[in-house]
Amino acid sequence: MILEVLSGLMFLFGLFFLVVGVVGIIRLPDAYSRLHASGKVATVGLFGILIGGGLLEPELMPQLLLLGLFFLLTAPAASHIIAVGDQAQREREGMRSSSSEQPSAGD
Amino acid sequence: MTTLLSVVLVTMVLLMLPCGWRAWRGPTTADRLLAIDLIATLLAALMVVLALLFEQGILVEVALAIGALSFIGTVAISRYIAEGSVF
Repeated sequence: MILEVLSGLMFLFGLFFLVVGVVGIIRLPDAYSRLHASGKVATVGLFGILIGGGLLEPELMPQLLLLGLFFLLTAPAASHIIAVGDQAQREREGMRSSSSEQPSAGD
Repeated sequence: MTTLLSVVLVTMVLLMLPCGWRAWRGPTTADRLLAIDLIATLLAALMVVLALLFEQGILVEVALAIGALSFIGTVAISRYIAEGSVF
């Protein structure tokens, strides 16, 4: 019973962070800011869903932890390589805007 | 618990629509690419919720496959927009 309540709370936690990530995708002004929102917040949201699922069905816990570990490794790498690719494209096309001079904004 | 899982499922499907809007309207290529990457993350979370809702544990491995293919695709397209070729 208490596990079900905890699992429901973790689902709502993860769903909240996914909603925040999507709102960030829509409302933030700049490509690197949007990358910040999607790369960090969505990973936390996925982890909330995974932990909630593991509490609800304990025999699925090893697969869910493997999935979480995989996303923990690949989501920052994907964000980083999107930022690097965008910056290389800007330099190649010679359109240096003011937003491209914040190298720490894109993780 | 089934009601909560259904609400989470429907909300995540609705969350894919703004990501699709960003992938359609995004001013730069990086916007489209990160929107599609976020859609893939949402799809993996959706597969986990579907696995719990239908009690089919095999769907968790579908989520793992979606994550792997999404990462490879993101890396390939990002290298393409950076250098003009994939390899």
